[in-house]
Amino acid sequence: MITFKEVSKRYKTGRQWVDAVKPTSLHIEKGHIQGIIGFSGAGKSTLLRMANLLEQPTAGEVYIDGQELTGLSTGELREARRSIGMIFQHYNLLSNETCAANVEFVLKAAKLPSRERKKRVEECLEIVGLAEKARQYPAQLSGGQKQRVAIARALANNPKVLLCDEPTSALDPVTTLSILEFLEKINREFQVTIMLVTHEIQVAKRLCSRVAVMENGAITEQLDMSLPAVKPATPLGQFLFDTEGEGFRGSHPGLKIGDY
Amino acid sequence: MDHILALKSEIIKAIGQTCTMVSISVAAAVMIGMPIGILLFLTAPGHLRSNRPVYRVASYAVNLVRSFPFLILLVALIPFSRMIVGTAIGPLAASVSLSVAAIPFYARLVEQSLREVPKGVIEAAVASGASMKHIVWGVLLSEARPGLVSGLTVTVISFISYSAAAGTVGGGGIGDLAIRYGYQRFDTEVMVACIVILVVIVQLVQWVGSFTASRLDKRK
Ligand SMILES: Nc1ncnc2c1ncn2[C@@H]1O[C@H](COP(=O)(O)OP(=O)(O)OP(=O)(O)O)[C@@H](O)[C@H]1O
Ligand SMILES: [Mg+2]
Repeated sequence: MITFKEVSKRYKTGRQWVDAVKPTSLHIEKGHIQGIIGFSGAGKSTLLRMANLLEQPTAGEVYIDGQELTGLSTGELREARRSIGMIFQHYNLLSNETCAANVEFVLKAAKLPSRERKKRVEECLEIVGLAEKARQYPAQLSGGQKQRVAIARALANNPKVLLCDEPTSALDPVTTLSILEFLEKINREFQVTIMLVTHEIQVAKRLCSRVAVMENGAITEQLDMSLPAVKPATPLGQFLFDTEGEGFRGSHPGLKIGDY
Repeated sequence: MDHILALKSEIIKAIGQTCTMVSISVAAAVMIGMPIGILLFLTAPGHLRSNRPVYRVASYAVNLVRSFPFLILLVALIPFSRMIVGTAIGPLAASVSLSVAAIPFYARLVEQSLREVPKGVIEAAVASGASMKHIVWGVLLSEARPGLVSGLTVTVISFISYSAAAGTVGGGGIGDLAIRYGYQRFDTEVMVACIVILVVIVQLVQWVGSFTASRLDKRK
């Protein structure tokens, strides 16, 4: 459903070049929940943002449902983006608009007629259990509720794919769990393929069918979470999986914290 | 007091002239300055339609007009005013120069307020496949609403004061009345009356502006 073919991203900061993502290939099957895990600066967000071309890859190709995004015109790309939902760590809702208007925005973007828009807005807020908050403004909601509005907005145009950039990183553990349950439900009921960036191993373990470990702009291993025992091969993968629960007291032979 | 009452009709006429000049220049600021402000925002480096040459030219033009002391602009634009409204004197002629000054003034304020819209919110709209027009109306202008109104308030108040200089080209207005009677003829009473009127107008504009801006702001 989502395919990265030798994509890379190089930024220029001042005189220096930064390889945020080195040439990377990744294929995400339809219906899967693919996690991307790694430390800060590993290039996770950059990779995710290339999936809908919010970041233009320096080289390589991106395919969504067989369509090559990297070759599209501006108009075609806009069209394609309507079937790619996205949610963010800081929700990114319109603060001067009500929850309903936030969801309606993307339906207007897809040029849905007014009558159908109203109906779809209600449906989407219903899915995330916030129908009664339709007339409220984001500032009147809790963080978890804001993220649910953002999920409703991302779902409105019946996307095939949902991109999530640290959607629970600003939330407490209980709220995190409720958001993860909504994401799971969306994946199950609407067969939405999810690509999720996180630095929390618990989030990846709870939700993902596959987890890619990312380090210094490259995917160093891809773990199949459906296996009875997940055996990471890289020091970073082992660190992430083995030290769960120990917090940062845990260390692992072979991983030099100084590297990060 | 009788003295002021005797000038009643002149004062009312002056208030009317001030209103004419301020309305015309502020209307120009909104209709022309706002689009220029949006253009500045969109074409700035790293923004949605980033275009260095266009940004440079627009930015340079805005700075150029803004760096003129208003009196000099007023005089320099006399031929231009004559071309546009057929005369170089009177409130209409002064409105031409005032508009020329108000357009870049508000354009910068619009650009500033648009920059305060969080990048992530714009990005979410881009990711949803919204058109540029939809993003400008539905995200930028909508999210920046309180700032745009505050900027407009600042513009109105500044141009009430700028319009006083319009007396130079016979523009009239309440500020001009204060200068003619109070400053040139040492008629303190009329000057004080004019200043009181200006103070009341400015307070009123500020109050309406602040009230509207806070009503439009849903962030808190
Ligand atoms: N617009 C940019 N300009 C220059 N460098 C950038 C830009 N965006 C990202 N980078 C660099 O690319 C690298 C990867 O950044 P990225 O945001 O993808 O990391 P991340 O894995 O998402 O980290 P985090 O967990 O902190 O969000 C970092 O070194 C970052 O400094
Ligand atoms: Mg990130």
